Amino acid sequence: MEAIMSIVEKSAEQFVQFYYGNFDGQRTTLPNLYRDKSTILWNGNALSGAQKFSELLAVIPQSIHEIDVYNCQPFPGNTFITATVNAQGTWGILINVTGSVKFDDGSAIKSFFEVFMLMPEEEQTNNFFVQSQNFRCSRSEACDAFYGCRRLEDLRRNLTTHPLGVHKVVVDRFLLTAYSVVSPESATVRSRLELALSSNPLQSEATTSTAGVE
Amino acid sequence: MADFNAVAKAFVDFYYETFDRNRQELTPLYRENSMLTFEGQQTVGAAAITEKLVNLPFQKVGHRISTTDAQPADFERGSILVSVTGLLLIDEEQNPQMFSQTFHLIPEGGSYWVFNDIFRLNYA
Repeated sequence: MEAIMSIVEKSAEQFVQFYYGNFDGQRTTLPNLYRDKSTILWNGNALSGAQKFSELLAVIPQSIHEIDVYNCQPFPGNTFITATVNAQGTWGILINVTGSVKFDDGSAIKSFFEVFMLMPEEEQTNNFFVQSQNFRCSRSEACDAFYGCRRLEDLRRNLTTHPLGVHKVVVDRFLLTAYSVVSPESATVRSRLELALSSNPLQSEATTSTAGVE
Repeated sequence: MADFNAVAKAFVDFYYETFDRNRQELTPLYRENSMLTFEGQQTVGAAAITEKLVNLPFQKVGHRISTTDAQPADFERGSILVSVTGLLLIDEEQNPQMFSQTFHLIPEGGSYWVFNDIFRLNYA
């Protein structure tokens, strides 16, 4: 299983870098990853096939994605009955990506969530194409809070009041860290807050404030 | 072939209702080879997955679903890809957390079970 996972993770990493790198840059090579039977959902709008996807790419404004995190899992390419992922069989890859995206249409930064189901090519099972894809983005108050903050005071106030569910905000000299009940800090949260803190002219003091009930 | 949107809706309603009420009862939805990635941690198999979910550090939980999207994963086999976004309220928390979750559903004898399950909290 470990061997499969490391291959899957490598393929997923390559795909994610290729996809978002080209989406934010030159989109012309992206449709090569799709087939006639590929199904795409874009904020609830359904389309299928490389051609339609090409047309969609042409109307979406220029973008900058910032990926927070992605996860991947394999699944069997042929039969689910025995349903084991083994080195001999073919397998597909499910990828779940979350992050933030800015479109060049005057709108605010949004948070996005995207799912890809990659299937191996029949002839060359090391190559993958996009069988299914689902993109969802929404205006995020968290994004507004982080990116709109210029002063440390604003940042601290926003963190304690916005509905992100941040439990404890600790400000020390250089690091601002957000904690939650279920999982540890997110890399994006930390880097955004570090950026805000480092560019803030006020001296930071060691303070603790809490949001929500502890 | 069943309408995949209807299947997805029924599954999502059942899954989160069961999760919020008693996570232990999710076991029949998974099999020996099911995979869960929960906030980056991977678990395989119904028993281990249920144990992981039951042991999450909260007593009360409520999911509020914002979007459910369904796509056929494999037309021949009738498997379905379901993507969900929504809000999660934990214990006495007033501030909800945003989450996204993806399920790969496999048909079997009139119902569906979960082969892949990926859960993430969304911070950005």
